[in-house]
Amino acid sequence: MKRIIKLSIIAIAILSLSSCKKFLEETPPSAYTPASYYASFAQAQNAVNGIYASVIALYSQGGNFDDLGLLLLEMPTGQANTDINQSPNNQELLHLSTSSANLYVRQWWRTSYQGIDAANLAITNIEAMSTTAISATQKSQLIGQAQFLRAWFYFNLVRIYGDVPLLTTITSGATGLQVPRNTTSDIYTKLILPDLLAAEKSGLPFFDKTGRVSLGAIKALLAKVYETMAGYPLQQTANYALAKQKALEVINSGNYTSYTSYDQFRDPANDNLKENIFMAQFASTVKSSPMFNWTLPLFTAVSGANSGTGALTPDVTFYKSFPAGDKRGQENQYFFSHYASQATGADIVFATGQHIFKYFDNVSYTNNAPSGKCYPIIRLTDIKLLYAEAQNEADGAPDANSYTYINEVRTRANLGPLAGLSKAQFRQAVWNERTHELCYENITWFDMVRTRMAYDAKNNVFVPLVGYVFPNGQNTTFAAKNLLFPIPQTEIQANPKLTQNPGY
Amino acid sequence: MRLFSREYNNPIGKRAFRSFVVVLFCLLAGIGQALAQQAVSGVVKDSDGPLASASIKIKGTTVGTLSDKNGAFKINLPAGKTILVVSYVGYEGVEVDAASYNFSSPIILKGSSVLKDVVVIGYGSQRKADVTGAVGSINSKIITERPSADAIGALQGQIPGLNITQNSGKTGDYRINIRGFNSINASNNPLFVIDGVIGADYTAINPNDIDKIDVLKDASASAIYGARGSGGVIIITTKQGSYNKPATLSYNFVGGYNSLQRKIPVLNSTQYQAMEKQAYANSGVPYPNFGVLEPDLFNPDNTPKYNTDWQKETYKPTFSQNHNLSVNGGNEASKYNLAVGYQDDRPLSLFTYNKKFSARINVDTRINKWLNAGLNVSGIYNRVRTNDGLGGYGVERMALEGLPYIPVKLPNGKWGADYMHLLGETPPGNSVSNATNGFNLTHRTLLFANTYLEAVFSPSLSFKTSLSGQINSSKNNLAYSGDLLERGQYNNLSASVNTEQNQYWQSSSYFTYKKTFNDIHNINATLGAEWSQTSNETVGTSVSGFDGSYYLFNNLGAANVANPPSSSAYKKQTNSYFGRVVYSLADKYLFTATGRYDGASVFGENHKFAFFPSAAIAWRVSQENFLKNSNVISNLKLRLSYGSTGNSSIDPYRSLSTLATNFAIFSGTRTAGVVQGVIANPDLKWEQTNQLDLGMDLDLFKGRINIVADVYNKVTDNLLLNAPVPLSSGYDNVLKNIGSVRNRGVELGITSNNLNGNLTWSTTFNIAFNENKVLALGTNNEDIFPGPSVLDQIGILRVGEPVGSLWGYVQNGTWSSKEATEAATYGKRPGDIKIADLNNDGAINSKDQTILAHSYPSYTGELVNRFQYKNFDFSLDIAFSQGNHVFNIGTLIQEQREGYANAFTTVLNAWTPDNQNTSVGYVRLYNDPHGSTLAQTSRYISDGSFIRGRNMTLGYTFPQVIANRISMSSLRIYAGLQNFFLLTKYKTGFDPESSSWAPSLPFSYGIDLYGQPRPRIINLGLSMNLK
Repeated sequence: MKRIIKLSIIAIAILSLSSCKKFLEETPPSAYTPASYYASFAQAQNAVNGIYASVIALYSQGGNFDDLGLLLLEMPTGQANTDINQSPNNQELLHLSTSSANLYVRQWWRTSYQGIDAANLAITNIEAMSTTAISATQKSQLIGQAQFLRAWFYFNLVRIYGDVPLLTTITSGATGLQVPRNTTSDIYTKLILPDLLAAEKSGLPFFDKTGRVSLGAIKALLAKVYETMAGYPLQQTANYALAKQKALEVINSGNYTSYTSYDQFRDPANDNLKENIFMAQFASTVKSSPMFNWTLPLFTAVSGANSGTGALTPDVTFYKSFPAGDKRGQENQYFFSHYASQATGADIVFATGQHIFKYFDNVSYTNNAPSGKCYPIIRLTDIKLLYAEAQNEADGAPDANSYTYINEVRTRANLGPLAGLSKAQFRQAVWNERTHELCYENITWFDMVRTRMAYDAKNNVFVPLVGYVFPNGQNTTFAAKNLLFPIPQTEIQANPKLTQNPGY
Repeated sequence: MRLFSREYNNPIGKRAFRSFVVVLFCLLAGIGQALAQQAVSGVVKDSDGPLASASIKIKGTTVGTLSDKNGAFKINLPAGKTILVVSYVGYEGVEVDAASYNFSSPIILKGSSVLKDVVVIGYGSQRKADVTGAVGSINSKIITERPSADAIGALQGQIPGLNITQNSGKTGDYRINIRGFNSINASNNPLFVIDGVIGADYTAINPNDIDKIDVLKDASASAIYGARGSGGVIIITTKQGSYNKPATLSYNFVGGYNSLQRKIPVLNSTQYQAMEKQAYANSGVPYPNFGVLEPDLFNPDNTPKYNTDWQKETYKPTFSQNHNLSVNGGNEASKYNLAVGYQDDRPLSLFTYNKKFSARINVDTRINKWLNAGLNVSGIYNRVRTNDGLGGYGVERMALEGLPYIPVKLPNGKWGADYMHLLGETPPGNSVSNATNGFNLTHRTLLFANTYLEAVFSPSLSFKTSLSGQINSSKNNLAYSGDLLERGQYNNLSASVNTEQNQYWQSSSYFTYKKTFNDIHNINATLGAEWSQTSNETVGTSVSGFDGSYYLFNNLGAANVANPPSSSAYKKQTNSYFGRVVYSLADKYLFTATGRYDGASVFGENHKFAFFPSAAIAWRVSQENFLKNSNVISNLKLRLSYGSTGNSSIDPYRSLSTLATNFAIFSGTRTAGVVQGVIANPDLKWEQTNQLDLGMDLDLFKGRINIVADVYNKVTDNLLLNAPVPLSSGYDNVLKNIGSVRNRGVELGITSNNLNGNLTWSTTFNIAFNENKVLALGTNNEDIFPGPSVLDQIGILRVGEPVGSLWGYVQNGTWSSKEATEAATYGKRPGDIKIADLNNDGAINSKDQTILAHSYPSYTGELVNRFQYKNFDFSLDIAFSQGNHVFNIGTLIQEQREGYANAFTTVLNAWTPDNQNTSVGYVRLYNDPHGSTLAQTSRYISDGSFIRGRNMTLGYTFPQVIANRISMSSLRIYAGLQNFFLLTKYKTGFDPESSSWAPSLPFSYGIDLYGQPRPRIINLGLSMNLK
C-alpha cells in the first residue's frame, strides 16, 4: 500500500507539471510586432517602401480571366473594346452596367485603402521616432513620400467613388472600423491638399530617377488636384490659377524633357526619365507589367513571353477619329494591325484589326522575357496640356506658353500648329489633344468626369457626357449614375454606415 | 532524441522527460504485491477466439475479475469457494467448478459476439456494451477487404456519419468529415489519433498495419479530446503482437489494373471541323484553307489528317502493386509485430505515381508483474509524381480541350502543338507533352515513435505515461524541361524547390481506475494530463532562365533569374487535463461524465484555456426483467448524450498584432517593404460545438439482426471566422469568434445475418442524413464567398442556407428569334444564352446572381453483401449519394469557346434558326463580334446523385490440408473489381463525387473544372500465413 501511495504521488506530480501559462505563450518567429519595429532608418524606409507596393498592385492586379484592375478606367470611356469576352468585369464596364460586385470596383477601393493604412502606419510611427534613430532630414523626406502617396490614393478614391471614409490614423484593433463617408470637399481640404503642401516642404529632391516620389511629382500632383477641384463636382474655378502655377513650376524646373518620338514613350530605357514624373514601377524579373500582354492580340504568337490576351483593344470609331496625317494613328505608333512573330519572323496579320501599340515593349519582345516597363502615372505632356487648359480658363484666353505646349504635342504628331483661337475653341482643342495624346493612360476617364464632356469620336466634337451614346452600336448610353462607380457590395455589407451611390 | 535537445528550448518537455525517468526508477524499485490465497488462472474464449473483459466471479462472494485482452484471467479463491461464474453480455453464462476443472482448456461461452468488441475511446477502451456515446468501429478484416493504397480509402462508406469523398483520381486525395461541416475557417477535418498520438499523420499509414479504427462521433465520446474533438475523432490502432503465440509470417499482395471508367464525350475531327465551319460562318469570318496553311495537319482537300483521342492518350491504363510482409508473435514476456510494405500506386494521369516504403516495429513487454512497457516505431518514405501545376492549362484540361486535328507527335518526332494558323484556336501545349516534360516530384519522410510505460498498482488502479514524436519532412521539386515549352519560351525554363519540416512531440500520462463494488456498481475512471508541441519550418526557392533543360531542379544556381527565396516558421503548443468517469449500475444503467480542460497557444492572452464537459446516460433495456427472456430482442440499449467540444485548428499568432512584408521596386530592383499584417484580437478563443445525441443499439433474434441508430443536433457557436471588416481599415478580415452553424441528422446502420449454414449471407446497410444550416455570420451577417472563383465566385455562405451553396445566374435556355427585340434590350441576339434578369432592372449584372443548388448530399449510404460458400467468399459493396449537385465550370468553357478548344458533344445541339429549343447558344468563334455570354449559369449545374459499384471481390481460401502441405497455416487468393459501375445524371465530368480543388478549400466539393479521373480497378490478390 505504501508503494502505491508513493508511486501515485510521483505520478500525480507528472500530471500537474506547473508553469503551463508560459508554455502557451506565442512569439512569432517570421513577423515583427509593431511595438518592436520602427527603430532604425532602414526600418522606417521599409515602412514607406511598403506603401509603394499598393501603387504596383493598382496597375498589375487582375482576376482569373483577362481581368486587369486598371481597365476600370479604360473600359467605360467609349474608346475601348476587347478581343475576348470572357471577363464579366470587362463586359459590365464596356456596357456601363457596372455592378457593385465588379472585381475592379473592389480592387481600387481595397488596394487604395491598404496603401492609406500603410501610409498612416508609416507616418504615425516615423513621426514618433527619436532623433537618435533617424535624422530630421531623413524623417521629413520619408514622411513626405508617405504623404504624397496617401494624398494620391485619396485623390483616386474621390474621383472614382465620390464621398469616402477619411481615415488618417492607424487601424489597431478590430473595433470601431465602421466609419461613415466624408464629403469629397472634406477629403480635398482636410487631407489631399494639406498632405501635398506638407510634402512639398519635406525636402525631397525635385527629380528622382529611382522611382521614388520627388518634389516634381508632388507639384505635378498638386496641379492635377487643383485642376480637378476646379472642375466637377466641386467647380471651385479659382483653382485653375493654382493649377497653372504648379504646372509651370514643374515644366520650368528643367528636370523633364518631352519625347521626340512615340518610340520613346514605349522604350523601358526612359522609365523614370524624360517625360516621366511619377510611374508605377515594374521590373522584368521582379514584378512584370501586364500592359504589353493585355494589349497584344489574343493568341497571336507575336511575342514568345506573352501569348496576348487582347483584353484591351481600341474602339474602331475612336481609332478612326485620328486625323489622316496624325502620326499617332499610323502603324506602329499608337496602334498596329500586324507584326512579325518573334519566333519565326513571319508577319502575323491580326484578324481582329487594330490593336494598341503604346505598350509594345520591344525589350520584352526581343528577350522573350516578361515586360518590365513601368506604367506612367504622371508625365510631362499631361502637365503641359493641363497648363494650357488651366491657363486658358484662369486668364480667359490662351497665352503664348499654352500655344507652345499644345503645338509641341501637335508637331510631334505631324499636325499643323494652332493659332488665334477663342477661349472656347482653345478649350476644345486642348480636350481634343488630351483625348488623342493621352488615350489608354488611365487619364481619359478622369477628364470625362471632371469636364462632364465626352469626345464624340464619330463627329469629332465634345458633347455632354450624360446622355452620350457610345459608338459601339450596342445602345450604351452614359447615365448620370455612371459619373461615379458604386461602392463595393461587400463594403456596404461590412460597414452599414456607408450609403451606396445613387443608381446602384 | 532530438525532441528534447536544447535548441527547442522547451522546459516542459525536459521536465516531463526527467519525471518520466524518475517514475521509471521508482517503479523498478517497487516490490510486487505478495499473494496470500490460492489462485487459479484460465482463459475465456468464444467461437472466434479469446474473449476480453468477460466477468469471472466466485459464486456466493463479491470477489470477481475480468479477463484481459487475451481472455486470460487469474483469481484468488477464498477458502471453501470453488464455483466460478463466467459471464459476458449477450452470451450464455457458465459455471465452472475450479476444484475439478482442467484450466489448460479454455472456458468456452456461447452466444452473440457483436457485443464483445472492445471499443477504443481515447485514453482507454471499453466493451461495446458499456459504451454510452455514438462510436463506430471497423476491424482489420473489413479494412483489407477492399484493397486501397491508404487507410482512408478503406474507411469510405463503412460508418454512417463518417463522410469520405474521393476528391480526384490522385492517390489519397480525400475529403473527410464527420456529421457535416461545423466550421468555416478552422479545419473541419476529424481529429486523427494513431496509437494515442493526437494529430498524427494519417495519410501515410499503411492500411495493412491497422488493427482497428474507431470513430467517435458524438460529444460524449469525443469530449475526452476536448478542444480538438468537435470535428469528431478517428482513432487508429495498429496491430500488436500476441503473448504466448508462435511467430507467424504473413505476406499479402494486391495488384491492380487501372483503366478509365468512362470518357467525357467530346467532338472527333470530323464533328469538330463541321462545327468549326459553322462557327466561322456564324461569326462572319471566312473559313481558312488549312490544307494550304497547315499541310502537316490537313490534306490538300482541307480535311483533317488526324483524329486524336486525347483522353485515351492521357489516361492510359496502369498497373499498381502492393506488397506487405509481417511477422507477429510473442512469448511469455513480450509480444511484437514487425511489418514492411511496398506500394506502387499508379493513378491514371500519364507518368504519375505514388510509391511508398513503410516499416513498423510494435513491441510490448511485461517487465514484471506490475510494469509494462512498449514501443511503436514506424518509418515511411513516400515518393509522388503528379501532373499538378504543369503550365496554366494543365494536363487534365488539355486532355479535353486538345483539338482532335492535332496528333500527339508528328511523323518527324516533334510534339504536335502550336500551329500558327490554329493559334487562335488552341491553347499552348499538348497533354502528353506536358506530362512527359513537366516534373512535379515530392519526397516525403515520416518518422514516428511512441513509447509507453504502464504501472499496474493494483488490480483496479494503473498509470500509463507515454512519450511520442513525429518528424515529417517533405521536399517538392518542380521543373519544366525544354520540350514542354513552345513559342520560343526556352529562356523561361523554370524550376523550384520547396521543403517543409514538421516536428511534433506529445507527452501524455493518465491513471485508470476500474472497480466493481457490491457486484453491481462498476466504475471505470480516467484522469490525466497532456502536453504537446508542433514546430514547423519551410524553405522555398524558384528560378528561371536556364540554358537548357538538362538540370531540371538539380542545379538551381545555373539559372539566370533567381526569385527571392521564402522561408517561414511557427510553433504551436497545447496543454490539457482530462478526466472521465464511467459508472454502470447493475449492467443496466450506464453513466459517463467526461471533461477536458484544454489550453492552446494559438488563442488570445486571456483565453488560452477552456473547459469542455460532456455527459451521457444509457439504459440497457434488454437487461430488465421484462425483456431478459425475450426471443426477439437480445440486446437493446438506449443512449443519450450531450456535451461540448472545441476547435483550435487555426494558424498560430492570429491573436497578436503583426506586421507583414511585401516589396517595392526602385531602379528596377526589388526592395523590401513592411505593411500591416494581422489585426490583434486578444479575445480570440475556442470555437465551441454543443451536440445532443440520442441513439439506440438493438440486436434481434440472438444477434441475427443488429441495428444502430442515432439522431443528433449539433450547434457550433463562436465560429472561428475570418469575419470581413470594412476594407477601408486596410484589412480584409479579422479572425473572430462570431457566427453559428447547425448540423442535424439521422444515422442508421443495420447488419443482418441472413443465412447461416453451408451458405452464409450477411448484409450491412448504412445510411446517414445530414442537414446543415448557417445560423449567423460576421458582425452584420454578411455573405461570405469562401472560394473558389473562376469567372466569378462559385460558392457562397449565407445565413439561412447550408454551406456548399452554389452561386451564379439562372439560365432560361436561349433567346429565340421571336424574342429578338427583348434580347436587344440586353445587348443580346437570338441564339445567345438567355440569363434571367432576376431583379428586373433591365440589365444583367452581378445583382442577378442567386443560389442555384447545394453541393452536399441530403443523404449517403452503403450496402454491402457478403457470402461464403465452402471455401469461396464473395462480397458486393454498393455506395449511394442523393441530392448532391455538381457545378461543372469546364462545360462553360467547352460549350462556348468554339474555334478555341475542343467542345463537348452537347454543342451538336447548339442553337440554329431551326433548333431554337436548346440551352446551348449558337456556335461562334471565341472572338465573335457580337460576343458571347460567359457567365456561370444554372445550366452548368447537374444533379450529382449517384449509385456506385464500389467493390466486388471473389475469394478462395485453400483447404487447410493443402495449405499445410505447402507449410502454410492459411492461403487465400482473390480477384476484385472496384468502381465497376456508376449510375448518375452527371455526364459532362468523370465523376460526380469530385472536386478540382484541394480538400483544404473546404466548400469546393462538387465543383468540377477538369478533375483527374479515378480508375476502374481490377484487383488480383493473395494473402498467406506461414507458421
